[in-house]
Amino acid sequence: MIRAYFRELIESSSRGWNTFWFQPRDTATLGLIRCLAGCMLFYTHLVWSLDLAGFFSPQGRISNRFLYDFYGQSFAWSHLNLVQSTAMLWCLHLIALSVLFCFMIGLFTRVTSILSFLITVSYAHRAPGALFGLDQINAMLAMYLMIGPSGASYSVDRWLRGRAGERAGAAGGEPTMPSVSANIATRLIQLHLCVIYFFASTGKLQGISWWEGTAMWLAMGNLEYQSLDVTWLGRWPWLINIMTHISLWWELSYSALVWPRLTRPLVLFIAVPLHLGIACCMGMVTFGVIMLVANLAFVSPQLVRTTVRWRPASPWHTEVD
Amino acid sequence: MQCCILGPARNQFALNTTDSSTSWSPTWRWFVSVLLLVHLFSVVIAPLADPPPSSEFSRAMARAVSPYLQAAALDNGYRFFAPDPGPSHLVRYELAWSDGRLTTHHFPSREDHFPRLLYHRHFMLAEMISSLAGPFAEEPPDGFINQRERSAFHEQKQRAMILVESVASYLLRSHPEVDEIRLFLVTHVVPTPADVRNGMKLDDARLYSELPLGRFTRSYFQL
Repeated sequence: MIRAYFRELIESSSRGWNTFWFQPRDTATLGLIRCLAGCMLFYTHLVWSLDLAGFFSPQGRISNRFLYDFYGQSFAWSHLNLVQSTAMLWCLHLIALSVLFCFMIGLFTRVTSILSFLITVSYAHRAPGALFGLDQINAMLAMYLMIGPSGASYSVDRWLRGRAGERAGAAGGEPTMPSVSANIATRLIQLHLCVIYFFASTGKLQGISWWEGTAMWLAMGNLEYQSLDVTWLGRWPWLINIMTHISLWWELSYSALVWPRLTRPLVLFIAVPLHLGIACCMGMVTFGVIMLVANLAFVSPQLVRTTVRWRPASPWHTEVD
Repeated sequence: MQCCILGPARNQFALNTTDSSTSWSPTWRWFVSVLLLVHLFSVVIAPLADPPPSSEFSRAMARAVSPYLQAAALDNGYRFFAPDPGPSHLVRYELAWSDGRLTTHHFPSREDHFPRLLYHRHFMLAEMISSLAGPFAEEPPDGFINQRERSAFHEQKQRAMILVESVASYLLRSHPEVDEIRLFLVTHVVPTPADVRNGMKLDDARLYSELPLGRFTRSYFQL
C-alpha cells in the first residue's frame, strides 16, 4: 500500500510537472509583456541619458574604486566598467538605446531580447548606489523574455512574417504557433513574482508598523517619496490601519491565491489599485507600472487576444485555432 | 460556457494540441527540468540568505550559486518597505566658491532632478550613503559588539567613505570654481498622524537631523 502511494505520488508529480512546464502556450501574453516591459526598459535607459556621465563615467558619482570595494571578487560584470571616455560612453549608450528600441517594437527580437537582458544587467551592475525595485523587475522580465519567443506576437517580426506569408499565398499570413518555451518563460515570471511577493510580505512581518497598521502612513506621509498630498489621512487612523492590513494580507496571500482560477481575478484586481497607489501617491510610477506588467503573466492569452484586437484582419493577432 | 476572464478550466492558458506532451523529447525535458530546478533554487535562496537575519545554511547555499546570482543580477532581497518604512535621507552639501560665496544644495531635489525617475536615482544614492554611513556614525564602545562586528563596522565605514568621496569628487569636478565642499547626511522622519492633526507640517524643521559626512578641498583629490 505504501509502495502504491509513492508510485502514484511520483507519477502524478511527474505528470503535473510536465503539464505545468512543457505544455505549448499561445504567445499572446508574452508578446504583450514584451511590448510593455520593452517600453519600460527603453524609458529607464533613456532617462539615464539625462545624467549619463554623472552616473556611469569613472569620474562620476559612483567611482570605479567604490565598485571594486562594493562588489569585491564578484561576478557582477558590466561592459561600462571598461569605458574610459565620455565619448565612448555615449557611443555605447546610443547603441544600447537602439537595441532596446528594437526590442520594444519587436524587431529582430531573438537577438535584441538577449542583448536587452545583457544591457539591463550591465547598467544595473555599474550603478549599484542608484538602483531600486524597478531595476530588479526590469532585469527579471528581460531575462524571461529572452528565454521565450517574446517577439512571436505583437511585434514587427510578426508583422514582417505575416506579410511574407501573404506574399507566399497564405491567407492572413502564417499563424502564431503555440510554444513550449513561451510557457516556460511565462511560468518563470509567475513563480518569480510569487517569490518576490512572498519575501516582500514576510519581511514586513518583522516590522512593528505593519502590525500596528501605521506602515501606510509612514510610506505615504514620507515627503521625499510623496507625489500626492495624502496627509489628510492623518485624520482617519482607522483608514490607515485598514489600508495597511489589506496591502500586507494581499501580499502574503498572493503566492497561494493567484493560482486557483476562481481567486486569481480577485488577486489581480487588487493588484491594480495597490500598485497604482504606489505609482500615484509615492512618485514611483515606473515601479508601480512594471509590477502590473509582471502581473500580466497571470492573464490568459485568450483574454489578451480578445482585448488587444484593434485590427481584426491584421496578421499581428492571427488566431491559432 | 467558458469564462473569458478565468480562462480554460483545465490546463490553464495552455493550448491543447494533439502533440502537446511530445513536442519536446524526454531527454530535452529532463535537461531543461534540471536547469529550471537550479534556477528556481537560486531565485529562492537569494532573498532567503540576504538581507539578515538569515540562517548559516541559506548563506552557504547562496554562496554556492553566487556566481550565477551575481552575473544575472538575481541577488536581490525583495524587502520593499520592510521591515518598516523608515525615514528618508538626503545629502546636503555646501559649496565654498573661490569668490568667497557659500551656497547650499541637496540631492535628491525635485527642482533639479526631473523626471521623477531621475529624482529617484538621486534619492537612492542618498539612501545608499545613509545605509552605509548612517547607522555607524559612532564606533560602539568595547563590550557592545564582538570582534567580527567591529571588523564589519570598519569595513562598512570605509565603504561609506569611498562613496562619499566619489560624490564629493564628482561635485567638485562639476563646479570648477568651487574650492571646498562639505557634505551632510540629512535624516527626515515622518511625523505621527497625531502630530499632523495638531498642525505639524511634513517639512517641519524639528523632523530633520544632520550628520557631517566630510569636508573636501580640490587639493584632496588633486584636481
